[in-house]
Amino acid sequence: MRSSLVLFLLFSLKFMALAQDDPNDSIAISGSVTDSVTGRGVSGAVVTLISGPSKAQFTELEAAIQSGKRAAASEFPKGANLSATTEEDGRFSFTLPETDFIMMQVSRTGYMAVPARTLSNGERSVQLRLVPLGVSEGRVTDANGEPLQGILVQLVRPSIEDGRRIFRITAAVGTDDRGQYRFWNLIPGLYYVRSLARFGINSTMGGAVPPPEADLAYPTVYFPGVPDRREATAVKVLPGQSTRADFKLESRKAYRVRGIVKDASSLTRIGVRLMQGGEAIGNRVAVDTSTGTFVIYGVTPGDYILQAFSNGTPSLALGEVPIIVKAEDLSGVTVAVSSGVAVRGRVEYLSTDKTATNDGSDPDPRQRRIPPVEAIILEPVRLPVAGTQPPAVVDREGNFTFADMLPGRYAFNIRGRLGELVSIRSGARDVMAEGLEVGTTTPEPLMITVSSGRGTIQGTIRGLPPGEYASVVLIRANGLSGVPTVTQSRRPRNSSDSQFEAFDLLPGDYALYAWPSTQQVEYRNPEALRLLSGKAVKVTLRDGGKEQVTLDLVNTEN
Amino acid sequence: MLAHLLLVAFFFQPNPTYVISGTVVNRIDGKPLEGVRVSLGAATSETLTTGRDGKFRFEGLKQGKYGLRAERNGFGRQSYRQRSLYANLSTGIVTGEHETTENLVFGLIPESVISGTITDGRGNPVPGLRVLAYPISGVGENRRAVATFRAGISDDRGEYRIPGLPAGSYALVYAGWTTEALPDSTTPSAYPTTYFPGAASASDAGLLRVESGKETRADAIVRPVAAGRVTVKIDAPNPPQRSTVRITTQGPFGTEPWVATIQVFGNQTVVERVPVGRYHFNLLDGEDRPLGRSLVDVGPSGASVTIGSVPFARVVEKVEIQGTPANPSSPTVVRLLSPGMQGNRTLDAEGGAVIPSLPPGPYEIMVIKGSNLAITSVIAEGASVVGGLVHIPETGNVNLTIVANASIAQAVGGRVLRGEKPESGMLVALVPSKNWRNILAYRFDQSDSDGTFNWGAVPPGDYLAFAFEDGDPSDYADANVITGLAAKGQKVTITGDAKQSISVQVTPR
Repeated sequence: MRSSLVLFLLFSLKFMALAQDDPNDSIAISGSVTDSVTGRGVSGAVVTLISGPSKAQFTELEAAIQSGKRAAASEFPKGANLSATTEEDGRFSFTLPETDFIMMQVSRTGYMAVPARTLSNGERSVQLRLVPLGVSEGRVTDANGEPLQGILVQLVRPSIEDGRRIFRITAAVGTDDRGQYRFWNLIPGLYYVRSLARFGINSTMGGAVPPPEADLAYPTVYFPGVPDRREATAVKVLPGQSTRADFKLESRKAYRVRGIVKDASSLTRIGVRLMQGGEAIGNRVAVDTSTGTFVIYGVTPGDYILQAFSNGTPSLALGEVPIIVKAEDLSGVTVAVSSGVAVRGRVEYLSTDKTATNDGSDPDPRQRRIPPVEAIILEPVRLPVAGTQPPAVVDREGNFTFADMLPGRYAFNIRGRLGELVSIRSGARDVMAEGLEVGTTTPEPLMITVSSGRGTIQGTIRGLPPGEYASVVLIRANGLSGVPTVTQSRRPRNSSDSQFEAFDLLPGDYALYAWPSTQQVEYRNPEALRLLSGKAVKVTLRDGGKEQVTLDLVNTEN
Repeated sequence: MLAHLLLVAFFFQPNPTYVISGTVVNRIDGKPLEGVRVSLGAATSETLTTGRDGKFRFEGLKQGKYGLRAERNGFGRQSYRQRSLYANLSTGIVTGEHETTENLVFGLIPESVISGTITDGRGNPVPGLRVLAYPISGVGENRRAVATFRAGISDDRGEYRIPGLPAGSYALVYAGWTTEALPDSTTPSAYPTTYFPGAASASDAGLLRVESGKETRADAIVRPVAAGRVTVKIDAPNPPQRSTVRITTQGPFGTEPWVATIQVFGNQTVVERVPVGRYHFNLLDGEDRPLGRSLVDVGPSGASVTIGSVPFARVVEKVEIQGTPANPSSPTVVRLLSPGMQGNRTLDAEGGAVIPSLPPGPYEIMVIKGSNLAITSVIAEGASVVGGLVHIPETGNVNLTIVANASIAQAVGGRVLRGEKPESGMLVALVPSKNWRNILAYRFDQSDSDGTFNWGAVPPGDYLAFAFEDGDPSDYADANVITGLAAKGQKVTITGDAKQSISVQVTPR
């Protein structure tokens, strides 16, 4: 009773302290913030403390509840919300009324964000450690070691989102006159560094600078000098340290591509660029926005996708056309932009044996309101701007339409307590495993199968450090990739083990994995799962059954 | 030679070929430059790269006029005998029987760099702060920014670097207020806009002198000040779903440094941690054209601002075209160009048009009817015309009467001579013999290797011609300067005949 009340109060905390208690009942919390690499104190860090109601307030409240008085939420006693900035040596201190519950958080620019920490009972001295962010820097030179200015350098971070590996450009910067670039405030980890073939100097002051006449171009490469990311070496950014990646680029004979964007007069903010392997490469481009004519400079022979876009408000329009550049200038390329293709689909709900509506009110599946279908772009590098696709509303018959989907590879999801996404197909394509490739023609309709079972799997996770949570994925055997269900663990108060529960499960053979929630696992990739299969706990669930398991943490780092 | 002029080779004899050769050197120290990419412009696609001796040689050239260009890191892209970095004027090279085209000395002007470290007054670096460098010309009260700014941004060590600058005087603005540079503090604070050499107010700003080919350090200390919360309301007739608001402040020498841009969804937003000070909140449309603006004083407790309710000045344009246009059927377009806050603001309108709301500032006027017409006069009611620019006020009604001359679309050219001998590389200027204030009527070119030049469209009338050895067009496009030089000018009457060729003697120093 007492502990659940504290939890409730924590969520209703207001930003005002009401500390009018007897000063004799106050406690002092002090501590220091240190840099995890140097071990030295960190000055200027902001430490925030949130406390529950004081002991005195609590006693009063308990007495009131005992006497049967009903108190409105606004009358509940509030805890303190205090903040302090650390001194030169990293020290801080607070004085507050005695309380059962204290949560603390620390932040400082240049350091990684850390989750809030709940102090254990009687903990009065707190040592907080901050992990410094890292730096990636380097120099781009030509074959003679001369610095190259104005080369665009991108930082591509491999990450796992929703069980799939994706590559996002996290930062981009041009080299300076010394050929140097520098990225800072980087979360430690692996990055790919990419140098883009933007040739020459982009200066305009006073008069217009004529386009480059010397048609030489530098190739677009990943560190240490390969065109394909799969052959590239990722650089490891370490906390508080700088990692170097230098490029030596050899110029090549290059040509021009001329053409026209159709109906340009009705478009705004027209852009044109070349793509290779789904990624934009950096050419210098001149576009006459009134006529739509364009010239792309510095194109080395090869196969490309020429992409034109119009970044109008509110929506983005895009067009793509394949081109082949041989050892001469290419003229007469025509490209039309449109606001995307329509992708239609249908959601099929298989199981009828359990209520799975949002509010649990209507058991008839025909009347069930299915939440909107969300589209998640898997290859963001394909789009010129970070475009988000609005979710598609599902009608009573289960049909939905994404009106304007731009080219790219997409995954789909339905959030909410609906059941399990059993399969997503577009014709013969397994969209759940591979995603859906959207080009300039309409793909086959999506068929999303959702089902809800009656089974439950509960479990305990061993070896989780205090204050941390685990992600648990349950994969039901079904074809090559299986069907994942993801849930988070929770930790009952005063328990050293973390627990989880997954329900509405279909019967079948399940493989279960757990890892710290700070890590990510490619659970939608059968190859990645195979490497982990030795760590899986397997369980067979009967229809409406309930299973208990104990999981050990899978450490995905190292 | 005018830039962007297409060069055509003329054939007088079927076979003879010519050579253009020389050495690329640093124009400041005279030393040969290695690794320079040298080309002859559109005439040939061949590109040479100089070796250690700086030498280049193009052979097998037909008779004609060539634009010799060079490009190298630290020098940008320059043309032969270019007057200054990024200036349009250069000297074309004419090949022919009696022309000297070998052993040329191609001097490149080195670019300059401004760099420095920004700290917070306690020795901590300030990252993510934008530094804007405005080139300033003129003297005394006439000092003003002559072109758009160049920007650098401080890194995690507080270091910034702005390369590729021409030598000259600069106003430096440390435009504060970036999320990354926000100091960690329990009370809201932020970095205010600060001006070189450390002034808190634009009126105390100084100038940084930058020498050619040198790196000039300009360290800065920016101290956090109190910051407030600003509530922004958009009050436009048809508010778009998403608006852009650009926040600017009053800078030195007529500049308006841009300190932040925010996106507003719907018609209201809140901006946190705005350092105390005076700002313009500019509402922009989808094409980055200002729709309206409001001046706000932000105090420690913040401020509230409504943008769009008060329009800018209403400008009525009337254009009178004299003479017979070459393309009578093409529409008349008046274009007002402003150095603006960032890039140019271009407003097109049919002749006699109304611009319901034009942001304040100096504008250059162009009248286009098929081609760019020569402007004879501009009369402004409700605005001032200074140095050929119309200064649009903050609000009110402005009537512009513009007279343009369409009859003379022809270029007027000639040759610069010193006695009988053609002189190359001279700055040839043509100035109306009256009304020197109208610098729109000034014409400039640089003589090619055979002494020839071309001024572009010139209305008929009486003029003074000059052929200066030194200086830039910006040095002479000033009524005060021309007043002092008028006695040395050569009287010229432009007849309107396309075949007119003018000989201009080198102006004595």
